[in-house]
Formats: sequence, structure tokens, C-alpha cells
Amino acid sequence: MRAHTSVRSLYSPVALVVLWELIVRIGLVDAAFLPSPTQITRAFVEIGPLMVLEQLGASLFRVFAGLFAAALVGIALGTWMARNAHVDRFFAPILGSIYSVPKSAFIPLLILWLGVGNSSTIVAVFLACLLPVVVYSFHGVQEVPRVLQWGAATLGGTRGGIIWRVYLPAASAQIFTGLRIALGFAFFLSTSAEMIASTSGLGKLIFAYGQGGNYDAMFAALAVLVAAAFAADQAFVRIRDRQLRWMPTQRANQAAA
Amino acid sequence: MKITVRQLTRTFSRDGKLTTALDSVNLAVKEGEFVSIIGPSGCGKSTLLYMIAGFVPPDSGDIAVDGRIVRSPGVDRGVVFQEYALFPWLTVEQNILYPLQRRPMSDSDRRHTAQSYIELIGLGGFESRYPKELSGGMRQRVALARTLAADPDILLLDEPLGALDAQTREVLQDELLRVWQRTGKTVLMVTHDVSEAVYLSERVIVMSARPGRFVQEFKIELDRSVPRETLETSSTFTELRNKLWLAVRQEAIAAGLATQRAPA
Repeated sequence: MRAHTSVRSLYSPVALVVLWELIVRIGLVDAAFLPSPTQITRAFVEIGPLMVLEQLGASLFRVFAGLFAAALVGIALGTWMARNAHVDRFFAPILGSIYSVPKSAFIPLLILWLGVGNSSTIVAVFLACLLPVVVYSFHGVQEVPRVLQWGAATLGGTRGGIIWRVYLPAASAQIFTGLRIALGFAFFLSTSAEMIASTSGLGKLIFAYGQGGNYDAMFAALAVLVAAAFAADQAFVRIRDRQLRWMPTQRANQAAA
Repeated sequence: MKITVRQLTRTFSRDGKLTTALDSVNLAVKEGEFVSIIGPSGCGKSTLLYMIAGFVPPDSGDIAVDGRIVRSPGVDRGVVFQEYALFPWLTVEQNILYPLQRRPMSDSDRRHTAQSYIELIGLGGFESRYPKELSGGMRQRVALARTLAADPDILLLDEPLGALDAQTREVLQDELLRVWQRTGKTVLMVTHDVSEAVYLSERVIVMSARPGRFVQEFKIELDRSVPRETLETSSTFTELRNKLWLAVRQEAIAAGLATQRAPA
């Protein structure tokens, strides 16, 4: 059943690639500006799959390091804000004021502070991922039904234990939604940060090939990035659905909406 | 453990209007006693239960359990909610294991104890089901077992069987009766079911609505060793039930929740 769903989710990307190949082949667009999938594959082999995978590894490390840090801090902060009005009053305006700022605007500042390399990119990813995680954790914990809170209070356990064993699982559908949004942001921010603040990673590779006019290779690196982001999201959805199999709704994300 | 409620008053503001949910309520429940509170909906009977549980603070008056003033929820007072309040992310067994975590016993003892409660409520074979896979009656059994597993001295039951069909309700009433007779726990139950109150309780208190006050009290003296059919069809039972029904109906009419039907 599950394998079925993931195979079906590949239909439209495959159809798109086939259509793309056709458009370039029949000459509807200039192959110099839009190389065909076969040209891109050839370029991928030429520049060396191993090298591209190495750059992908560097990017994935930054994506997951930033996301992991944001998950830890974001879930903790969101939960704390939901449970304590003073904490909420302190952090809500700060978070609100950076909500509408594109996080990529911080990249030059991060280069100034942290230099070019892993740390500036990881911090940029962390900043972008933090908000959705905080916001969804906050709402998830705040919306834990009153009877569950009351029930837990009469069944014993320490305050910390109740947060760990009742509030977080009860809020988990919302927290997963926040984390999924954060995962998308993580790829977005790691790529943009690598373009200007790094000497490695897929973002750097795409940028370098683009500037050098090697568009076939640029597309190859871009395709790897897209595939990696797509695979990461699919894996995330699998994990989420498994973790939320107790939920009464068929589709876990409906309850979180 | 005994419960003592003194001059308990609580008002709520709803749409800018103050409603007196409880007005100077006094109540004493003896250790091991089974007391029911019955009254029209909105009479504040659940509020009283939630205040004894420590969920809702009083405006004035106080509640004491064995002489200690109640200020917060505690493991000495187990609550069974009308809406079950099971943890949906835990299986039947994990829900029942939840209150056992704080008890000083080995993991295998915990599982043994949980299993004995699963047998008690007749849900053997359903250990690894999630609440969403259970019927309402089964969920309420699990909720009862979870509360019993916490081993509270006092059971506070908030219309525990209200959402169930008549047959399931009767089965669970008998289970409740058995548990109470076997464990000798103090039970305070809120219900709107007249027969249920008479069948289970030693004492039934009738409440009025707005303001919520105790207006009448019935002592129920029944020989519960006889089969249910004999008991429920006996003249003592029928008479008590009729008297209680009339008292409750009077309060419902006074609260504007029931009307006199014109004779045909």
C-alpha cells in the first residue's frame, strides 16, 4: 500500500522529464539555454558523479545540522512559550519581528561574523528553520485537549515527564508539520548561503557552473539537488505517517492543518 | 479517604453574564461510600467534581480530602471522564501502563499488573490496539482500567457511561459495582441517569440548576447480593427510582429544561 503511494508520487516528475526532453528535441527552445535531460545526464557523467555526490554530502550535512539544531531549540522554545505566558510575552514580539524578514538577508552578516564555511551556512539554515518549528510546536502544545492535561495530572508523574509523555506526543502532528516546512526551508537556505558563503556544496557548484557558462553541468548539479530535496521530503513523510499511525484521521496532515 | 466540601461557591462569566455554578454547597462523603450526584444539565455537578479533582479552584469555601485542603490534582483522586481522555498515541496496554510508571516495581511486574487490568475489563487480545480502533464502550473500559491502575483512594466519575448505548452501559455498571465492592474505594459519581444512580449508589444527591445547590438527598438501601433482574424489578427499587425521578424532573422543570405535557 505504502510502496504504491510512493510509486504514484513519481508519475508527474517522470512525465515532466519526458515532456522536457521532447520540447528540447523538437527545437521549441534553444538547447543552449535549456539543455535536455539526456544532455544533463551526459554532463553529470563528465563532471564526475563522485565529485557531485561529495558536494551533495557537504550540503546535506549543513541541511541536517541546521535543521536538527532548529528542531531541538524550536520544539523546546515553542513548548515553553505555550506553557508559560511570561515566556510567550517575551519571545513573541522578537519572533514576530523577524517573521517577515527573508532569512537570506542575514547571510552577509553571518559571513562577517562567522566567515566563509560550514558554520555560517548552518546558522543561516538554523535561523530559517527555527520559526516554523517554534510556531507549530507552540500551537500544538497550546491545543492539547484540556481533558488530556487533567487526565495526566491525576495519573501521576513529574512536570517534565508529563511534558515529554503527554504534551509532546499530543502536539506531534503539528510539530511534524512545522518540521516538514522547515525541511524545505533548510534546502532553500543552504543552497543560497553556499552560493556566497561557501567553497563547497551543491549551491556553490551550481553558482560556479552558472558563472562559468557550463549550463549542462549547472543543470546536472541542480537536478541532483532537486532529487535530494524530493527524496528527503518523501522520507520525512514516511517517518511522519509511521509515527502518527495512531491518529484517527486517515491522513495525518489533515489533523495538523 | 473521606471528602469534605464546605460552603463551596463558584461563578462563571458567560457572555458578560455571571452564572452561579455552585452556591454554598456542603457535602461529606465517608470512606468507602458510593455517592451519586444527579441534576439537570448545567446544574454545576461536573464543576463540583472538577473542583474536588483540583482542576478548577473555588471562589470561596473549601474542599478537604482526609482533612487536607485540595489545591491541585493528585494521584489520590482518580477521574474517569465522559469523553474517556485516553492518550490516543498509546495502545490499550500502554495507556494502562502509563500510571504504573511512577510505581516502584519492575517492568515485568508492571506488565503483569497491566495484563490483570486488561483481563478485568475483558479486553484480552486488544492490548496493542490504539483507541481509534476501539468502540466507545471499549474505550471507556480502558479509561476505567487506567484510572484503577493508578490505584487512587477516591474515584471521581464524570458521567462515565453517558455516551454509551443502554446494553454496554448496563455491563459497565455491573463492572463498576464489582470494582467498588471488591476494592472499597470511595466513589463520587455525576450522572443524569436515575436508574443508574439508584442501582449503584448508597446515597443520591439531587441538585438544582442556576444556582447549583443540593436540594434533596436519598439514602439507597438495597440488597445488592441478589441478581440484577430481581433487584431492578423489586418494589423497593422501583419506588426509590420513581421518587428520585420525580425529584429530578421537578428541578428540570424549575430550570426550564422540561415542560409539563398537557394531558390528552
